[in-house]
Formats: sequence, structure tokens, C-alpha cells
Amino acid sequence: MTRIVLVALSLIIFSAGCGTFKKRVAPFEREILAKPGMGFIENAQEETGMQHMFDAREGSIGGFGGAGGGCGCN
Amino acid sequence: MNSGFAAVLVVLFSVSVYATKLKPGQTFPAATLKKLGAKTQSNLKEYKGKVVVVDFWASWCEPCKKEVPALNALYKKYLKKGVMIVGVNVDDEESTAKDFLKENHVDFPLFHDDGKKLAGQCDLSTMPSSFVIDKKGVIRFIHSGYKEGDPAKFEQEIKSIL
Repeated sequence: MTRIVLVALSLIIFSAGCGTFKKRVAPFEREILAKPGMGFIENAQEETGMQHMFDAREGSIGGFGGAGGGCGCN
Repeated sequence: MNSGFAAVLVVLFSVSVYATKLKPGQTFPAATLKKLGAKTQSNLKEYKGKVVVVDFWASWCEPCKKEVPALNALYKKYLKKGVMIVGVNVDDEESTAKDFLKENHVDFPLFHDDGKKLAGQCDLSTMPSSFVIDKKGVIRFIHSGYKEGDPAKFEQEIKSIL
């Protein structure tokens, strides 16, 4: 019985670690990510176009941050 | 053993509650902030008794630049009617905010959130973020980001609590 409780407790603690603590960078802490050099392509418009093309042709959406850096504004 | 198990659950639950965002109806956190470009500090409590719009902005945030003219206009229109607009800058360095102000004219009072303590307390989900606070210091409306039509919305909200 004790072993079951211990296993249950361990699972809860591990899963709480996944759900409770945020690993994302807060929007107000994205100053460095917002720099143009942080984008894959220097030109923000070109990057938006490229992403649109990938979205449409490959169905691969997301994971690239925002165009022209990763400030994620709005 | 059962009580120990329950205690652990309570602790875990309370940790998840701690991470909640500010919502309308809650009191805006009291904060002492440094005035941008000055050595003096000011507490936002000074504006109690007025309708206050607290706007979090940064020099690297494009929508923040777009909202400045609209906030300037609101500030000029409603200052004498008991409305205060306050800009809280969250740049890492105050100097970058000052550079921003060389190119963008801002009429309303600006503060620097050193260490992003207030922004952290408010758990902002976007940049910019604005809080419309009533005369008692209670948050009545929250704006996430800046979109077309927001200035009219701000005005409507301000009028509703004046």
C-alpha cells in the first residue's frame, strides 16, 4: 500500500512539474528575441512570405516565432 | 498517511493557483517605479481617485509604437476630466527607452519597470498590455495587444467609469 502511495505521489510531483511551471519566455522579456538578427531571414516581409508558403505547401505551421524576430507582439 | 497525501495535493494546488493572471475586479498591484529620464520615484497609488490607464510598452515592440499617438490624444482629451494615462516601460535598459523617445513624442508620464517586477506581477500575456483602472484602484478592463478600433474602445471604457 505504501509503495502504491509513493508511486502515485511521485507521478503527481513529476506531472505537476510539467504543468505548473512555465518554460516560455514572457512577452515582456523578449527584447533580445525581438532583434531583427534573431529571425531566420533578415527581411521580415520575406520571412512572412516564406512561412506562408511552408504553411500552404507543407502544412508545417508554427515553431518559427514571429516574423523579424521572436517578440511575439500582439 | 492519507492526511500526508492530502497535504501534498494542497501544496501542488496552491502552486498552480499562484500563477494566475490579473483579472477585472482585482486591485491593481501597488508599485513604486522610477520616472523615465529622472532620478525620482513615484508610486502609482498617487493616482488613486482618478481613472488610470496603465500601459506596458517597450521600444522593441512594434504595436507599442502604433498606439502612442492614440494614447497621446486620449491623454490630452481626458486629463482635465480626471483621467491619467501612465506608460510603464519594460526595456532591459532605460537608455533604449530614451532613444525611442527621441523619435516618438509621448505626452503622458512614463516610468521604467526596473527588473520587470511589476510586469511580472501582472503576468502580461502580450506586448503592449493595458489596464483600465477605476477611481478605487480596481482593474475594470484589460487590453492585450493593440488593434485597430482600440482607441474608441478605450474611450468608451473610460467614459463608463468616469
